[in-house]
Amino acid sequence: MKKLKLVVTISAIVVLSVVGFTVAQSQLARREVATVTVTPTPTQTPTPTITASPASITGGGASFVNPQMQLWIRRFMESTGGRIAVNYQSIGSGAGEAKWLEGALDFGVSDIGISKAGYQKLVDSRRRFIQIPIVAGSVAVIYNIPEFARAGCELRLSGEVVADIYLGKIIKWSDPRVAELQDSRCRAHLPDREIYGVHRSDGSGTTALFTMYLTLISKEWAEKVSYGYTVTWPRDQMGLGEGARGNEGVSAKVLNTPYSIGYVEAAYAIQQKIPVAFIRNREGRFVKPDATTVSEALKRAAVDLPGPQEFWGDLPLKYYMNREGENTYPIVGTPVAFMYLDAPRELRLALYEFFRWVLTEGQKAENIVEGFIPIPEALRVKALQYLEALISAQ
Amino acid sequence: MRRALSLKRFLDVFKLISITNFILISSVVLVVLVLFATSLPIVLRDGVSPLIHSIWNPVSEEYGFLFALGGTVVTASLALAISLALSIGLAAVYAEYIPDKLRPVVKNFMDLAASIPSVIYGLWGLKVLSPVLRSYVMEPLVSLGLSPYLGHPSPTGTSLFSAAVLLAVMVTPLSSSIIRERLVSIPMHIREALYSLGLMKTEVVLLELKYIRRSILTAMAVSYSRAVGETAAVAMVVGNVVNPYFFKIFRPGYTISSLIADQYPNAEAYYYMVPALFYAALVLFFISLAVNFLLLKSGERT
Repeated sequence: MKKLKLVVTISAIVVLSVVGFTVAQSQLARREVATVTVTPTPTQTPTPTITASPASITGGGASFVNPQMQLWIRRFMESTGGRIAVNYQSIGSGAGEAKWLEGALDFGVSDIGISKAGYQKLVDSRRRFIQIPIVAGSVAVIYNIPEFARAGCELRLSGEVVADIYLGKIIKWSDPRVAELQDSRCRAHLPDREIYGVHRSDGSGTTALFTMYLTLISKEWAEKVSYGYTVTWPRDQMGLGEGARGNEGVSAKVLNTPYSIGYVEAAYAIQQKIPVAFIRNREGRFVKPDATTVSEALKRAAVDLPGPQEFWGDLPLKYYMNREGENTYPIVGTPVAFMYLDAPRELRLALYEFFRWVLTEGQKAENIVEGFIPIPEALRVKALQYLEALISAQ
Repeated sequence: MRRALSLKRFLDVFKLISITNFILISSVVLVVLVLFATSLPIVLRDGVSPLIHSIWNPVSEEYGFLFALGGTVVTASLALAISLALSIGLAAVYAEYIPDKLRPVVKNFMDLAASIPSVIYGLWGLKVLSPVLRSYVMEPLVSLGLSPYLGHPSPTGTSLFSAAVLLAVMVTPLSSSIIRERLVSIPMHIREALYSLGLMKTEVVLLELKYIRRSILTAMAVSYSRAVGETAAVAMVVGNVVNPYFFKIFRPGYTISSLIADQYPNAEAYYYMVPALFYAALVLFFISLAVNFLLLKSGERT
């Protein structure tokens, strides 16, 4: 009896290990396909993998747009009488993209567009898809200087100064390069204190937008740090910075730490009434993020928006940020939705109907969650044009 | 009828012994296999270099998690040391000094403390513990000139040290309840024998603790595992900074659990980040295994 038990247990372990190993192997093989650059896959024809029923679509991705997506879905389903059921899962930009690539989601939403790794996979699989901007976003620089709050002053910064603060080249608030940006009354109120640099510790689209802007403005930042969901922060290494989770974590840390600086999604800063710094734009004017200044930037970007199948991972960097115009806020982006053109026709039609509603009715003030900003007319027209491909595709 | 009976007996024999063991062992094997298989790409690319470098730069696909590894070991070990002192003291006071009538009250409070969700501990750690530790422990020590060894505390007080103290507070109820139950269950005749030798109460308690040292080691193993794996609370107070000098405990740092929680949601946007995070998890698994093994082995020897 004892022997039998032993044999059963051992053989079971062996069987399971073999199963586990084959699973692991197949996973490995998949990963290898994904990482190898441009392998021709002649046997692989573009086959639609989505199996959701035509009247229900499932999407997922960026958590920042989640409140807006949920409102849109509710209003859309009210207006269509629930004929098309939409479901959005807030799982993060990277995960949304990966799940969409696997075919588990009908559409994905990312804070900045499909990443380099994901775009490579798409090119390799030769699947046709479109990307469209769905709402406007921007990043606000927030700060906590008690002296300024007491004197009723508001901080002014330039991209170069923000980059040098996070690079660790500007140590104190009283640095002449910070002082020269302030108006004469407030200059004297800058404290002789070390700046404490707070940043997102979790990978986020907000960090991606913020670091893209610094990459665009500062050559040194571009060389030393560059941009992405997560970067290495030089100021941390000097013991003058730390990370916090989420927009709420960063704003709480800045509010509770005198002489700190941070960055959050502008919608969040406006909702929470945190002091927001003016940023110097291309024309040398100091502007804050709001509906007007963000729209100004995106309006101009609509003219040269690249095609819906191009690489959009650096879209904000190349087209949205630091645009001309007196009243233009420089750190802007748009969450991007993406979907396949070779999906079944019923699914494409459902997606078309939903996103068409989002880009028309959905952009009206009553369908926008407080703090979010609708995308300007010019960009909306362009996005609707791109969306037409869902119908014309074969 | 007889067949059914024999089948039932057959099932009885195997149900509890084989099947549970088999599920347990095979799930551990599977976990290790999945961890290993998923982390293989980065092992093939970088070998052991992620283990000995402190860099986390997804932009250039460079991953070295020594800082998180160090942070995990430093916080968990420090937490274990603090919690050992706290939990032994708590258990001894409970078993020997508290009047019988008060015991149920104290016991309930200890069990309640063990069941508080870790996020609540995290909020308390962020709002109360870190600033207090900064003003009353870190600043005085730094003013003594210890900052070259311990690092300079951040204005928020979040640091590896705060995380360790918070972890100690969190694991103490559990480990002290293990020690407490064992201490209470020491047979009366042993207790009476000790007192009959004319020993003082302190000496009796010390001898009793020596008598149950294996339970204390078990409590340590449980605490260490919990401290290593804790995520939510630690992520709030550890500072989340890539800090190559993880032995300077007053500076903010990272632990592997908080690194994975922070980085996983967007990890798929990079080529090697998912393998790197799984590699870190694999290493964490082996560290926990080694610590548990060592503690249990030393328990057997004594």
